[in-house]
Amino acid sequence: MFFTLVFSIFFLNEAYSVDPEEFLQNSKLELRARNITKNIRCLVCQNQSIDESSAPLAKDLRLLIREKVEEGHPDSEIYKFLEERYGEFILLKPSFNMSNFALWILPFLFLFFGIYVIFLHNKKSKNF
Amino acid sequence: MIATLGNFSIWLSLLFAFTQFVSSLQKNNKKIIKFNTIAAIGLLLFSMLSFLCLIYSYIVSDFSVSNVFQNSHTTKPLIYKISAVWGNHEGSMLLWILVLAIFNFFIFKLYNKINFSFVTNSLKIQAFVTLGFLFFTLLTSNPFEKIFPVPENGLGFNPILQDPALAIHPPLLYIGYVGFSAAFSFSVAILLGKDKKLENNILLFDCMRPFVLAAWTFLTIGIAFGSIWAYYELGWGGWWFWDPVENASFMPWLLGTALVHSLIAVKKKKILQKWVLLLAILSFLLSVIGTFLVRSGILTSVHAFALDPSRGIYILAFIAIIGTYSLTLFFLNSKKFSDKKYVTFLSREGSILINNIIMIIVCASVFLGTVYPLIIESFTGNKISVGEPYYNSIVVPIMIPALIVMGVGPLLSWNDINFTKLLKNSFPNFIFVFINTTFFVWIFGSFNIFGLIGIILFSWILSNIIFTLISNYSLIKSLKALNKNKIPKITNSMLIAHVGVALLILGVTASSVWQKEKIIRMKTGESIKINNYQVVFKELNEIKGENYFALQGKFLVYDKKKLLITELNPENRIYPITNNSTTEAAIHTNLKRDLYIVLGDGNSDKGRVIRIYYNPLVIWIWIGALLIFMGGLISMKNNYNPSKNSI
Amino acid sequence: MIKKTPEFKATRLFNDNTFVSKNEFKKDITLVNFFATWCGPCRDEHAYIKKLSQKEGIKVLGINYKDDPIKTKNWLKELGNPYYKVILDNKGNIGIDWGVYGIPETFIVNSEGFIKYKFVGPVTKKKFNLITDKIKEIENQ
Repeated sequence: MFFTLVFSIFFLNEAYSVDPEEFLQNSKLELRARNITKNIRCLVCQNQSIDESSAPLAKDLRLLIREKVEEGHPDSEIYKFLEERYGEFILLKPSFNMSNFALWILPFLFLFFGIYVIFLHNKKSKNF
Repeated sequence: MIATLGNFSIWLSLLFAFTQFVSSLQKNNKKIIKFNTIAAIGLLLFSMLSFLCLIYSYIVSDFSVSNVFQNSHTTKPLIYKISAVWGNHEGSMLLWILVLAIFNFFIFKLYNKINFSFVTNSLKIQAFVTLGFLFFTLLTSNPFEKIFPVPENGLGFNPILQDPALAIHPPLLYIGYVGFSAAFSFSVAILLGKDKKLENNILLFDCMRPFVLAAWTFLTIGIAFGSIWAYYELGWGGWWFWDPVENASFMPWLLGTALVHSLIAVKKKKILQKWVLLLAILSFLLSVIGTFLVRSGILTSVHAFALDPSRGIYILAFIAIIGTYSLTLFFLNSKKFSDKKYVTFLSREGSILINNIIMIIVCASVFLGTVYPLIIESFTGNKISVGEPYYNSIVVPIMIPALIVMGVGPLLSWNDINFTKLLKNSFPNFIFVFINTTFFVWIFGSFNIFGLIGIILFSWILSNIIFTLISNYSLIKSLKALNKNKIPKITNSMLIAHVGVALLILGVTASSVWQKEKIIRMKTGESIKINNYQVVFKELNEIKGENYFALQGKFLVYDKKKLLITELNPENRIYPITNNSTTEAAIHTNLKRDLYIVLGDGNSDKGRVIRIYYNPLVIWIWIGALLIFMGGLISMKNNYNPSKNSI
Repeated sequence: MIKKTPEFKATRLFNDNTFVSKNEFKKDITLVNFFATWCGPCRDEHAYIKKLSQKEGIKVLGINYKDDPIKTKNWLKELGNPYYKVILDNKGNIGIDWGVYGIPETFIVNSEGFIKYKFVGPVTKKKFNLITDKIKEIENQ
């Protein structure tokens, strides 16, 4: 787990940061691209999205995503592209699939169960 | 020498904790009190002594102590030498033990004259928990371990952690976590109790209140300080990142919130006792689980500075022991605490029940999100991330009904209320909400669904408090002779805390929905407009701090009328000792907004990357948290009355 | 980890031919090593890469990550060239295709063009042994 920490030092010791030059001219496309970069994990950082990160890999990915947005690829395709290369770990919002089923469904089951308990209480209270 | 004394003191603390545990197992009343007096005081004194010894070792930079060598440096300012004591794993365990001993002492001091078997049982559990942490410290995390040869200087520590908010953040959190240990001990002691008489048991629940309030109140402010630190130090204008370590403190807080409210129901209506017992147990278990997640190194993030699997296994075993014991006890013995009557939906106790259930659901969801990647990785080997987008889409919607109920709660009386009557009562609220919401949305000048929901919630909670206050004031006078029960009464503490929540929601909503951001490249002399402000990049200077060098930008901020508002000086620091660099954002705060500037990379030819944020109403988040804290303190004062508790 | 090698084209360092990934990874087990002259740990691992190539006779493809060709040529002249081909990844796109976190990074590709193992960080003595073991394992399959 911590190899991300250790290996960040293998990068160029030159700090990049979000460059205004990276932004796309078309503000609509830029908004889309920005949103995607906010949902992509910086792999060599600690719980940051690539939008927030100054790591070179994050910059490369930001550029790549903007390029793809400009070329007209839909969001889903871009997420898929990144996932194929770096694995699910790169998605900050876990995708809805078999292994993440419980992650997405359980909170709603909790919620329904909670509502059920409340109504049960309410109903039984009327019997007094 | 001092370090040896410190080490010896931990062993003595262990001895006293052991004495307390063993003596609490005995049957002879007089003997136990005598032993426990010595044990509780001895434990307090020696855990304090060992802690002071460690502080001393840090102040004099005694690098023969490995822990000091690892985490301090001679050039560090004195205050950060001291805060470095709990800025690392071993030292923070010592603080944890000290806080345990303090709470242990108070349990003994406040209640040793009342209900004997109950207090003895509480002290027994408290001693057991303390023993667990003492053994943990001595076996895996002794802060007084020596090294030889003695190094010339220390390894410093992360400059990002050299910060006043972060210096007091851990002690506040520990009061919270450890405070729940007292709740845990009381809960187990109540479950162990043989007394079947309801009245006597209710008094025991009252003993728990000041401790629970202390824990929850300090946890609240501790989390707030962590957030403030993240806000200005991490340089992204955000204050909550759903980092696993943040979650670790958020989960006990959620259950603590449910616990605080359930205790009110126990006091006023003698109901929800079972809930209190369970929530008290779970709050503490989650505090320890949080420690496990952070300290075992199983998660990696800014805070997770400990990486040693043996620690993780120890804590896990400890959790397993106290968890199995307390929960088994709960399932076996809690039946007699069941409510004789079911709670109605539309009543104050009903709103507390709904709050409990939602807090548990939110807590369970946060827990799921935090541990899910670990589960997936250990079963399939795949790594997944559960980040901010998940929590925002799951937790936020589930929280909304809780906040709606929270608004209406104060309007309800303790007994059943008619729905049409409630609607009629709420009519002025609806008008208030409508006007207030329109006003805020008009001010921000743009529509956003989340913004709208947030503002409505804020207005809803606020309006209910205002109108309840008004009706309380006029009704109490005219209806004094009539049944008081029907008048919804609210206490000052609740009023303040709930206003705090309303303001917190306002700040959270406005700053996340209506934040404005500019990221541009600027040369000195250039300027940029952000939301009616003109920001001029005046100059860039090199400065030298106590243990760092920095590039400091000078930015002048003018308002619409070209009047100078403020000068902002964001910095890029380099700490030559560890070759770390940090960005220090510069922030100008007023009641309406924060202006937040971060200095980025670049050079004089191309200019520098500058990030400017216009964050509306951020200060209300901190004011809100402060009000919740104050509400807690007031409630603590009102509830602390040992003479009333004597049986 | 079993994944098909990504398809890409690239310029080569020592001649003007284009490297086409489709034509490679077909016959032999190949070690793919991402490196750069600006990367300190790459220099540290270089002796092991050389040993893998010269002593163990493994085919090693070098992918020069975000670097300057002239510097790379000098670097290889100084330290020795263990690579059967060196290709250039100026923009880091090939790195992204391979899912590279940071360099150095080394992949074992089997004779059917599937990535079997990935090693993040410099090749150390321990990793050297691991790599040779894994390659033997693949050969015997």
